[in-house]
Amino acid sequence: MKKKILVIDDDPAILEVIKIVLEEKGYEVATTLDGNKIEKKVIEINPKLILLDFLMIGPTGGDVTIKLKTNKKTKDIPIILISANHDIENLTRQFDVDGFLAKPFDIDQLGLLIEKHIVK
Amino acid sequence: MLHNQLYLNKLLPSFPKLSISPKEKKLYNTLPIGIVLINSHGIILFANKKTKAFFGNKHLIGLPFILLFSKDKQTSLSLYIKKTFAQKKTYSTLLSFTNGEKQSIKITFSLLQEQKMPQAPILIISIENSHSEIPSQPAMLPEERYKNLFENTQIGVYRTTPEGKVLMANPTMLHLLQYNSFEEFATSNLDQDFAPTYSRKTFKKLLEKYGEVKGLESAWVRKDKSIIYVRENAKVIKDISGKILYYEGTVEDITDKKKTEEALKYSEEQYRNLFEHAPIGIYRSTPDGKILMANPRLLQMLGFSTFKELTAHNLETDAIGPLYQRKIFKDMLEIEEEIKGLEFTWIRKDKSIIYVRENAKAIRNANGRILYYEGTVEDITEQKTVAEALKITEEKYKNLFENIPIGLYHTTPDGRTLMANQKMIEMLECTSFEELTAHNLSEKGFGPTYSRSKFKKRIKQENEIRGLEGIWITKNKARIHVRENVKAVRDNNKEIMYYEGSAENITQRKQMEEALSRLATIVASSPDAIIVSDFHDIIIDWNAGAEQIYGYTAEEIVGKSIFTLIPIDRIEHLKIVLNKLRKGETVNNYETIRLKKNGSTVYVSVSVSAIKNSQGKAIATASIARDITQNKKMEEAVTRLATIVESSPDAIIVTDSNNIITTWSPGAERLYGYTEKEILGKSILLLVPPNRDHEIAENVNLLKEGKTITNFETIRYAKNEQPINISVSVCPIKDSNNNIVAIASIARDITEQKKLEKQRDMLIGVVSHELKTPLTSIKAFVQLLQKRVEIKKDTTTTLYLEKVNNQVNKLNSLILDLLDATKLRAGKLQFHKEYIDINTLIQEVTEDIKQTAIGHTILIKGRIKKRVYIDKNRIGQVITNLLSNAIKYSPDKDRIIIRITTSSTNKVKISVQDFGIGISQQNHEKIFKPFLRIEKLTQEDLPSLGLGLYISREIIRNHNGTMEIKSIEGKGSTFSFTLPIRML
Repeated sequence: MKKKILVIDDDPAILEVIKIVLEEKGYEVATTLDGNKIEKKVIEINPKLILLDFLMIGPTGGDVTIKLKTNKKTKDIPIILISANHDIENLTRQFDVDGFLAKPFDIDQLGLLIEKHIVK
Repeated sequence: MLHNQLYLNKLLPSFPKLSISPKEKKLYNTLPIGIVLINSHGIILFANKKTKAFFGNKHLIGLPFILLFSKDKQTSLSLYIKKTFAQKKTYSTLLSFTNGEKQSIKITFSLLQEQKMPQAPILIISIENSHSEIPSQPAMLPEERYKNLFENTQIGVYRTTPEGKVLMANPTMLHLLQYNSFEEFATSNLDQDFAPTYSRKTFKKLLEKYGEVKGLESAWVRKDKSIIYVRENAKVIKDISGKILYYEGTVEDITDKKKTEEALKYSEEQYRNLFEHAPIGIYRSTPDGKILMANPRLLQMLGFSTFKELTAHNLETDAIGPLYQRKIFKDMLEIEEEIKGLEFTWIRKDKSIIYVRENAKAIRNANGRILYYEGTVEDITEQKTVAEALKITEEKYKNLFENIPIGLYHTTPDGRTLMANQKMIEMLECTSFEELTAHNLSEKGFGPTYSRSKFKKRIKQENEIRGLEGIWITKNKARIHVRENVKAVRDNNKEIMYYEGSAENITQRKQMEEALSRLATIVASSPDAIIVSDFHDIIIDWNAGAEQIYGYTAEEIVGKSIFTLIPIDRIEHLKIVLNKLRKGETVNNYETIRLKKNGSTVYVSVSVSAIKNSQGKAIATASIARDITQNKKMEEAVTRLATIVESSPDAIIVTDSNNIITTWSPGAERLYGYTEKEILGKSILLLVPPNRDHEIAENVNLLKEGKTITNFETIRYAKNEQPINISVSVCPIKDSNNNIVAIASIARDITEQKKLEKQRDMLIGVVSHELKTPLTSIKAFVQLLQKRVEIKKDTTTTLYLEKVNNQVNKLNSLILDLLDATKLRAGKLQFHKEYIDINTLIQEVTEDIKQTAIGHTILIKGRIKKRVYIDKNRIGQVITNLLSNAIKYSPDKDRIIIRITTSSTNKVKISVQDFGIGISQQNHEKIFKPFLRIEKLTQEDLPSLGLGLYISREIIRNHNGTMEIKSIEGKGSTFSFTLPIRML
């Protein structure tokens, strides 16, 4: 069974390319354009890993992380933060995320990071 | 004790005076009876043979007579002796005496009148055995017994009839009168033949009246007509009926004695002569001052004409003679016996004073009691007067020596002071001569500063140096100018004994001279016009300054009126000034206008004063004028500047070295809200937010280093406590010595500008973020494409896609820099520091960069053992930036060197050196500026200037480090930065 990854980003082009890259690597990919009702979404999809953009319309990546990491049902799902913010490393210190990747990223790097963190 | 000793001394020498002639001695010794002579103390002076035999041949002389007898006899014997001396009569006593056998003796005491020693009477004692019959008359002596005595005695013995017919004569008698036989002598008559010097008639009368004549001295004419002096004793021998039977006498030859007496008399005469005519006074006085005797010289000395007149005065009680205390004199004589060379003043009859030298001696009797004083007195008034005069002269010189305003001294060549007068002592600020002599003139820091050895050498050659001027150092280390005359004083061998010199303190004169010379120099060199004019207003002195200001040379103007320089409209004013001067007033610093030689006018500030002579009379006028044309111009300039300051929209503030505000422009008031009145005298820190206090000190330090501060952006508080963004330019105000005395700052409100910048920065932030989003998908799609093309082995497409990917990366890094720069400017760039092994960091960064820099070798030299407290990513970013630049700007070279060194100040220094194109000096500072701030951006700037160095330097600054560049165009650049090493 393919492992499911949820990608959250407000840019459809990025969602599209990530979907291609990850499906090529053998993952099942679900996407969403915002962080609204995220807990409900995550519980429904039940992904093995979440790729999360930081600066989005609506709730930020930070808001999303807090919600998921404080919810019993979702707290164990690894979250990898992807952001155009140069100081992404600092952001990861503020929020309880498992990994991070700066935009623009190298697709091989993305693959390695997911492999590292995805729930086996 | 002493008295006894004196007494004895006095006594003992009296023995020789009792000299008994050998003849007498012989006579006494032939007598069949004991004869003893004693003095008034009962001491035996002589004892004849018979006596000695009687008392067992003892040494008797010097013994008290009474001690020859047993104690029970002594009292009565001593009584007899006393009585005999006192009564001058003859006493006899009978006493028993045990001398082997008990015998009875008769002792007769009678006084021997000794002419030579009237003061020392002698007792003659005869001792005979009482049982032997002593005939009361010589006639009754048995012929046998006395025959021997009669025949052998040295005394002539005769018997004559009262008429002088010789009945009997002993051989001595014959011999004395030069007869050979009694028969011949018997024919002579004593009354007629020997012509004794006495009257034989009177002799016979006396003889018959008293029964005897004793000690009659007379001269007899002997048979050969020579004279013989004789002492004669004669007795009348009567029969029972009282009829004179004959005269019996003894005749002693006293010719020798007489001759001696004559000689003595002559000698006495001579002494008398001396006494009378001696050039010294001789006196004899009683201890209580009564004059017993005085010679004519003494009379003359004391101004008396007769001895009688003198003796009316007493030396002790009257104001005549010695002025000394008589008691002391007496005490001295009591102890000393003799006083010699006593010099004192004596008073003469007319109460004038003479100086005398006196010798005096106490004359004592046998008991040691002083009988009188005997003395000689020498008039030494003349000597004394000369001495006194000398003394006065000496005193005068001494006075001169002590009070002369010139220091006088004697010193040894090696600098020891032998003598110095008061002035000399004072000159060297010593308090006493002893203090002066404690120093040596050759010692450093005292006395002359010139070389003593040269000085010695010069004196040796020249013997005398005059007018030697030099600096001396006093005891209190003051430096004084001294003018010296010095001379060598030599002994008989021409060897220098000491230097004699005078030294004059000419410090004041020197100072005057110097002051005068200074004044002359001042006058000559003064830029002010110094003009002296007499009271007819004629110029008599004109200095170079005057020539400079007015254009006239001294030659041209001296002798002309001072009014030559006065514009017509100022003549009245000058007259007023001159009148004031004549009243003794001084007119200071009035500003006026003068005429120059070329007809133009000059602004001057003039002070005028009168020159007075030593009597205080004004004799001339001195005026000092300063050209104030420049000042006037300055004033105008200042006024202009003040106007600018006043009207400037910028805040112009001047602070002193203590940050106190001294100038506050209206612009400053408008900016900060404080009025000038409110803020002057307050600290500039009033305007500074607490977290920016350090800026003030930092700015001062930069100015001190000679750097300029322009458009420094910061925040200040206005009066209403609102922060104001300002851009400030700060410049130092320096004094003539180039010391910063104040700081001027010109501040402009940039709050509005800042607001705009903030908006811009926000815009950049948002824009760059937005740019990154498409860039992310582009990059991802490009990479997807690459993977697919790689599979088809289309190498050309792969290469193209790689170029697209690189450009995407480059675009990304530009965006990143733009974001960093924006954050830096907003102060929002965050650092996460930890202890890092910087060697490893450099290694990693270098490895990364090597992948894209195939043409360059990167060498790492050195390492640091300690870890450094840094933000790993940010410092990595800096090193990356420097290495990228090095590679980029040395395209033709293949070598880059990274050096890691530690400095003594606990810093690590990392430098990146390339050997490329280098950077011109003028651009060294420029390259660190973000191009956003470069106002005139040219096309050329863009390719070479990014934001990298700006960001790098800001990062290093944030780490309390510094970054600098060393670069020579065409030879390469070295960028280096330091980081503090924090101790764990």
